[in-house]
Amino acid sequence: MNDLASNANSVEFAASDLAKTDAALVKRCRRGDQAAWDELVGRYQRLIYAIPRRAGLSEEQASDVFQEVFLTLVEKIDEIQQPEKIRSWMVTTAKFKTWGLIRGSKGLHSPDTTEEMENEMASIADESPLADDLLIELEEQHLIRTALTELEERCQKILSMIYLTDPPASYAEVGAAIGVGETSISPLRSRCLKKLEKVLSR
Amino acid sequence: MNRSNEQKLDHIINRMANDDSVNAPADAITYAKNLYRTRSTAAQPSAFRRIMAVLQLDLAPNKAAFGERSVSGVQARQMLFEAGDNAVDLRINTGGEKFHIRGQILGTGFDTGSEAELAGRDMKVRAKLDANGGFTFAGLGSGEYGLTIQNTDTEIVVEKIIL
Repeated sequence: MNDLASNANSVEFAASDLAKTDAALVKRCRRGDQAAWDELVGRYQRLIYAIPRRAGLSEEQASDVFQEVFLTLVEKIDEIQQPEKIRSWMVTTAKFKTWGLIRGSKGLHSPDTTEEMENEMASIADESPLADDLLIELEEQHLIRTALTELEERCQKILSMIYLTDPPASYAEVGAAIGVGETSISPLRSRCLKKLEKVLSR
Repeated sequence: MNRSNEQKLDHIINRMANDDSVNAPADAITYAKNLYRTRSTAAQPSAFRRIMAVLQLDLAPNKAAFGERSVSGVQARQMLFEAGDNAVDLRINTGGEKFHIRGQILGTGFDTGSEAELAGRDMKVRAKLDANGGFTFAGLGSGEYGLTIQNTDTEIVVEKIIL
C-alpha cells in the first residue's frame, strides 16, 4: 500500500504511543482477532464519518464513504506496511473517497490514479472542502478523544463534561457528578489537562 | 511549531471545544464491524479443512418435498446441507416471535466436544455437540445467520440461514 499524502507531519501532537496502540490493533486484526477489529472501528468511526460530513456530504453519502473506507481497510489490512501510520492511511482513504463522490456529483470523470487525484485536489486546495487545515483539525480532535480514553475515568468525566458537552457543564455539576466539592474542580481540571497533554506528546 | 506548555493546553482546549463531530450511524458501524467476520472466515488457513456446506433441501412446514406425493406433515422447517463427507440437518421451529434451531451433523468426525457457533448481525452463540452430533440454539430473532461447526481439524460452514 502507498502511504499516501498524510497530515501526520502537520498534526501538532507527537502521539507516538497512540500510534503504537493503533499498530498493535492492526497486527491483532491480521491474526484474525475480531475484538481488535471492533476496537479499531470504534476508535476511528467518528473521524472517518466526520470527514465526508465536514466536506458537505449528506448523512447517507457520508455513510457510504464510511463503509467504503472500512471495506477497503479489511481488504488491504495485510498489505499496510507501516501499521503505526494507519491513521494517515484512513484519513487519506476517506479523503479520496469523499472527493470521488463530490466529483461524481459534478459529473466529472474519475482520475485514473491516486496521484492524479492528489494533484487535482492540491491544485484547488484553497477552495477544497477538504483543505488540509480542516483535516488536521479533525485528526487532532480524534487524537484528543483517543488520548482521553487513556486517562483514568475521573479525568475523562471532568474534561468531557467541561469541554466536550454543549453547553459545557458548570463546575458545580461536574463536582456533583464525581462526588467532590465545586472548588476542587478547577485544580483537578488543570491536572487532568496536563495528563492529557502528556499522553498526546509522548 | 514550538509552543509553551500553556499554549499547548490552550490548543487542546480549543480543539475540544470546537469538536462538533458525531458518532457514525449505528447501522454503518455494525456494517463495518461485520465486514471483518467474512475476512476472518476466509483467512484462517493452517491445518484446518474448511468445507462450505451446500443446501440440498429446504422444506417448509406442511409442504411436500420434490418427488413426494403428499406433504410431510412436519411442523418444523427442515434444511439439509451437504458438506463433504458430512451433512447438516437443521430443523427450525418458531415459538412466538422467536426461532429455535435444532441441528444435527450427520456422518463421522463430529461428536461430543465439537462445537457449533451461530453468528447473526450483532450476536454470536455457541453450543457443544452432544454424542449424536446434535445441537440447539433457542430464542433467535429473525435475520440472517451463519453456522460454523468445528472439530479439531475440520470446519463446516453453513452460510445464509435466513429466519
